[in-house]
Amino acid sequence: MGLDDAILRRLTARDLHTARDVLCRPELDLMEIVDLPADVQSQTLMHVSRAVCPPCRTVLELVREEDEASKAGRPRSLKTRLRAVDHALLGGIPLGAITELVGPAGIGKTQFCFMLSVFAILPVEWGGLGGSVIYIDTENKFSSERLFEIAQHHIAAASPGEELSGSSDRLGGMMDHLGAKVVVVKPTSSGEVIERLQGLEEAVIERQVKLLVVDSVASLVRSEYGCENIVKRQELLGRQAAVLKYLAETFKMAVVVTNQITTRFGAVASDLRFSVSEQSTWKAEGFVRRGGMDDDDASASSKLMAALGTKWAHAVNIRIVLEAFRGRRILKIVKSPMSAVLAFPYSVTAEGIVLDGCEVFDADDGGKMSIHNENDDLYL
Amino acid sequence: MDSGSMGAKASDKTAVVNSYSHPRMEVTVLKLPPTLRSKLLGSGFRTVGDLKGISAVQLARDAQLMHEEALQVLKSLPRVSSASGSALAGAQTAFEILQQERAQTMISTMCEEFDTLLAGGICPKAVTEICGMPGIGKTQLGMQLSVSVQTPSELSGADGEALYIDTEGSFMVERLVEMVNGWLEDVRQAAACSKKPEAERAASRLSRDEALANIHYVRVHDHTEQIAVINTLDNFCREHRRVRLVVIDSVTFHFRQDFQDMALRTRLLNEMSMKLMNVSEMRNVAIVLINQVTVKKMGAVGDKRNSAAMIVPALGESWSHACTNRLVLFWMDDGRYAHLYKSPSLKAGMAPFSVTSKGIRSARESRKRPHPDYNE
Repeated sequence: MGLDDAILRRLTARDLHTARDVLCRPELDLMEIVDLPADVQSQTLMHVSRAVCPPCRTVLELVREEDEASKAGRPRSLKTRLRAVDHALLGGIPLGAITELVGPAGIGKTQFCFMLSVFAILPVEWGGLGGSVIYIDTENKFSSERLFEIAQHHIAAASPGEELSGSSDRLGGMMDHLGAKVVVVKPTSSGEVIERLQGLEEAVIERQVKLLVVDSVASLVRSEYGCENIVKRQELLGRQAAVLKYLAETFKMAVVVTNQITTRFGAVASDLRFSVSEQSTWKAEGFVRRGGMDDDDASASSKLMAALGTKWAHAVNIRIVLEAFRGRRILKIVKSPMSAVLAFPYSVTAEGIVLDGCEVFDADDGGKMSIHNENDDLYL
Repeated sequence: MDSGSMGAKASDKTAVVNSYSHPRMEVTVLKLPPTLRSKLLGSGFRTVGDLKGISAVQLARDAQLMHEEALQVLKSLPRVSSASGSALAGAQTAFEILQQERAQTMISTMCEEFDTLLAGGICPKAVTEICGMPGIGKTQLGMQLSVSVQTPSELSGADGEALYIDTEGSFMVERLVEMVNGWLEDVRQAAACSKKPEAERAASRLSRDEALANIHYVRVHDHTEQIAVINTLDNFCREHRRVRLVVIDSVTFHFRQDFQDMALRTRLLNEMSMKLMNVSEMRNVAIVLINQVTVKKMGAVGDKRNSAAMIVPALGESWSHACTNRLVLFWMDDGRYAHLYKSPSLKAGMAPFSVTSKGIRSARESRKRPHPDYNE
């Protein structure tokens, strides 16, 4: 690390090998262990800090970099081909961040993932990313049939000049190429998910992976950890989030995870309001919704929300909710650093997900974070 | 009563009495390597008082040290005891502090109600923490501040640069460009309204690229890097003298995983907050920490229906002492509100705000985002 030899020898002799070992110790402790004079030590500490410190750049440089990248034809986001959504997200699903899809069962989360996988594989000149996809399937729902169906439609659409029948050879070749580029992993425990993710670096470099899908992040974790193990579960989720962020950032790829929904009863975290009491402790009062007050809610005091809790919600950069509301399916951008809360009606068709017209709703619901589902009665 | 004597009286209270100046303090508490310390003890130097008034050469002879080592020992003595002997050395009177505080310029949030709540904006020389639910706009506020810190001094802005330390990867360059454009528009408008030629001149000097170049950005990937960045923060501020704001978004993320040892975490966090406070004080920099919230369950675990839940800022009780001001962002009646929860000088209160395409703005302005034109 460019430290003085003598100091380096002292450090290693005391079992301080990495910057982490050095920086995680209090200064006085360090002096005790290393036995160096104060000024030499603080210099050493500074030196180590500087070596570890990531580079600082101005935002102007970042903007220029991105401009150059887009000029060079390197896309900076994965287009969803849903024009309104792309517009709201300033280009599409950003590379280098975690995007989460939340919604009730059967609403189209997996379909959305399939569609994104196809786009990630399509060559750049066709509006894709020209990379490959790692699909971590924990719910055993991956259907290559469906993936190919979606792909077929989009390849046909992307090359409008060619007759579909005339280019069937080409199409066939394209499909094979596509099939080879999706790698499906089916882990069976949440521990395995983490292990796999941690070992992913090599594969990502080798295969030029541009999209990592985890479908779903919730199922294994939720089945393995009950209420008693909530602390352990949160710990695991935190680690998972850190790994995902690291991968996304280093390899500039899109990470899409899906999440389930959960029913929250009454006072728990659904309608939380802050209030400050006399003892200046924090209290969040949950206002229990009474039956009949809200005709959208089939059940009295329960509510559908994204699973896995607040900590996980902090970890994702973008959260997109898919929900059913008054007979329509709605795609809603709930959390994102660049978009307002907007809702778009959509439907699931043979080619994946399409928007119904260009309607956009301002869907700011005051942070209630509830998710509508027409079939509430079935689940409760 | 004239202000001078008022100040003198107040100084008795405000001055921190330095306990280190005690002559009977043991040598063992000095910041010395163990070998040196044992040599000192071995030759009978037990307290700081024993070392007082002794010269380096004398000490070297008595304790059988090298001359350099002896000098080091003397240098490590607490300065107050070796200097003028006054316990109040370096203390300021409250009056002086008041004048300094008045001369400071606040960093505007660009939302009127918000600024009123904070008596002008985010205070320099202080650590302010912002916490709130996911998606409430913490990152937006951080980005907004790093833009509006550049408002020229002619428009009573801080006219500085910003450092954005990103641990979460939520910093979107495209969004920042949008905000800078919105800010430029507003600043020019304000300059035109003020009818002051110097303000207009200052506003016309601003440009998008320059504003972007004034925001420094560091992406931090784990807690070691975070500690390292904070260790070097003082140097950074010395090299970039115009930096008036440091945003850490978020201070929490890396400290919420990979820590089995809670004591270690608490210690590291404390150390970090001490360093941040020092930097903010020394370099006249506002520090904004963004914190996450966590749900704390009260009552029996597993009894979902009867257990009350509280939303509390993450990182625990001891961390809440780390910041001078604490702001909570939350949802109420379908709107976004900010609540000033902790502040030494301002009274607690609430203010509505909204997140628009331009950035953070007053909630009274149109809340609806103009619908983008899809039919281009």
